[in-house]
Amino acid sequence: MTAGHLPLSGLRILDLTWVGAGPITTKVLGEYGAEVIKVESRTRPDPLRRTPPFAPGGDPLEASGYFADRNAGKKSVSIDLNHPRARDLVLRLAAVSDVCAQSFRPGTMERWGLGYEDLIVARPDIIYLAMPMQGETGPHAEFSGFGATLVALCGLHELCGFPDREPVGTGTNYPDHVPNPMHAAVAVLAAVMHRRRTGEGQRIELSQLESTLNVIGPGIEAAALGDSPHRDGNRVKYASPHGVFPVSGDDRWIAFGVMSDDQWLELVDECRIPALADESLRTLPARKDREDELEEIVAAWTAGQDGDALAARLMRRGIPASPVRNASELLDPASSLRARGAFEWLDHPVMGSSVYSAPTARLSRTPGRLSSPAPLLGQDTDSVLLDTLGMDAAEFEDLRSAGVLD
Amino acid sequence: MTAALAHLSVLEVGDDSGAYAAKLFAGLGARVMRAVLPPTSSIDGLNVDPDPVVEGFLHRSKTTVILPVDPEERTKALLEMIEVADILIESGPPDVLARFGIPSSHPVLDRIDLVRTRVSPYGLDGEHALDPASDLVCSASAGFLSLGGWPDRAPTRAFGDQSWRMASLYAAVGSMVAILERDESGIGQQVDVNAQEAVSTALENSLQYYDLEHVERRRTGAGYSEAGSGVYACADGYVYVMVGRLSTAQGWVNLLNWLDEEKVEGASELRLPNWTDHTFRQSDHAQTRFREIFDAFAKDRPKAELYVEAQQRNIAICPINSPDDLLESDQLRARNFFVHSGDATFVGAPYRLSKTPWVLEPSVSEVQP
Repeated sequence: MTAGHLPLSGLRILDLTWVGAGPITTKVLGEYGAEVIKVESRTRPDPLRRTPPFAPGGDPLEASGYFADRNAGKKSVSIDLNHPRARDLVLRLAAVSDVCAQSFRPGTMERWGLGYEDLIVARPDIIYLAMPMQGETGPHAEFSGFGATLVALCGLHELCGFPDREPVGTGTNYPDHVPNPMHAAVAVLAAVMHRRRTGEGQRIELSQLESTLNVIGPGIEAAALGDSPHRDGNRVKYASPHGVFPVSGDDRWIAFGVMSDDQWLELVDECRIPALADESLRTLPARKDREDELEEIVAAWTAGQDGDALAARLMRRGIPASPVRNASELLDPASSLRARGAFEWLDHPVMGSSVYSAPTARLSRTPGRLSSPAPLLGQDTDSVLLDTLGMDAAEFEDLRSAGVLD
Repeated sequence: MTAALAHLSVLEVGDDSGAYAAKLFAGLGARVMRAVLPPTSSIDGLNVDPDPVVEGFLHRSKTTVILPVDPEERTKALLEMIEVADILIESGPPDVLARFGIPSSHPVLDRIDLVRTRVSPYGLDGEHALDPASDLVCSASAGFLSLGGWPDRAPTRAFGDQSWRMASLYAAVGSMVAILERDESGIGQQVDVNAQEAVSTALENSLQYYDLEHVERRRTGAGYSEAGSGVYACADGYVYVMVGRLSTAQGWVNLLNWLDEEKVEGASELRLPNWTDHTFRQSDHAQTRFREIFDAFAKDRPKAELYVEAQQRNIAICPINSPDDLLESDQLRARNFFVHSGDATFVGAPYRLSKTPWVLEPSVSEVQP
């Protein structure tokens, strides 16, 4: 193996995805060596380029930390997909690509003449990934939506929060960040595996709704059995007490769960509260029956204590515990995640140094890497068209002057 | 049609944190064996949800092998299964395999073509590697928990042990990359997935907010800090409405037109000039007044009906579905998403591959080694 060779080296991805899930999918594949060519344009940039937070100064399209993190390691080609001559250019890029990924509303690619049936004429063994919100078929296929609506649609919003209030959701567009991009990456890798063995490409349809339903699958299947789950704060059936309790400081909290009856005895010994020494509380069902009361007692005990010190004491007794960390703590030089290398600071020509999530799955022999910061819009148009496509300079200039390379 | 991973054998040992990765492999056609202890034995530190519905979902289509009671026999049985596995998924504390009877120095783990995927809460080494962990605690230590919930109450977890699902998803990706590399080199490798790190990738833009603007993102409740954005009640639950600052101005106008058509009391007030000012819409008065007007409109309309008509009118109103709503969804039904087996209904595939489709069998089989 040559130095720097990565498992997906030689795999070229034509990336027409934007915003959340799609760009993370292609970023992860790029971490392991795939060449990702992101197509956007100045008239139709990835909306995340205009989404905060921003580095100070510079071109407003080149300063978003949100965009940067999701697009590290990619090349950027600027093509106005609405231009009549764009179709031919994209088909030529598809012809030299192994994977084409897109996350538009169903029918958008087809209207440009760039649907799967068009692409396989250009590249018969291409792997085509479509990531529509609710699939490419069905009565709601063309309904519009975005991250927050997906959380609501999929049931997660309804199932998160306290039972005495309206549902609160996850606080983020969670399906966009992990379930959908990782499911998509698994599907693409499976298709790559199949193509390497058979020479056959294929079409992948990832309905973001159906993908997300898989990470809350047991809740859906319980409902089908007539035992529909309901939001229950931080409680779970398998442990008690199991919650998030106040500690000293402004809006500071500790999370812990008593996962067994033995751990309960350890907690009782640690806190030495007479009411908890009640022998009738030594079984999980008994504690579940009195959970309101227990949580009130535990919260009174934790309040005013130092979260780190309390978590350390509980863990020494075998009880899983952690202060509720925030971003500044994760990025602190003393954090264990930072020590592991979970975050990298890359030097971007406009933004300067800013933080990115590093490759998460650590492969011992061929570790992933962030090869470059997020690309400037169109920074690779010349090299991709002239070198990768072998386009002559006259045609290139013609396309540029015609406004195709916006 | 041939399944994409039909040529692979996977062995799963440990807890729920790696179980979903093995399930994905089973769905792609790999032969997945899951080694479990006999009912008379137990190991501390494993996170296993005992709910049979959870177990049925996570382990569908796997062959569960109940290991012998006798420690020597157990080790022998496990070694035999490791010897024929392409991918070994170990999940739980980093020494989980030793707890099952196979020390980390055992030569079976040195097999040159073995892909050894190790899912742990806090990594394989370091001062926290052996700390006790749970889904909730991983969510807290990774910062995810800080973003969920109401500002006036404790942070609130995401439903369904999402820390373990995220760890599994990264484990699946890493394992498949390692197999693709092995196809070329003939050499396997270790895939180390730290659940806390996996969860830290779900923080949206929180890390960048702090890094670039020194702003600490916190939980904001259901998100409505402006009239027209957030959660509103309807006849059979709630809808998520987004016609405020983050939506298009046209969506707001379309909603006003709809309220007028329905002759909703007070709707004409929303056309006064001050309602075009986002600052005004963020005031308590505006939020309360909008809620009164919208509640009057939505109180007799079910969420599914509101959704369909809002889409036709280009208004961002979305149902907050419950699991029961999803089981009745016209969209999911039209796409035959759910799998029916006898009286049972199972969640369908997370993706659809045209040439190598999902092959999950509805049952879990159990064998003795």
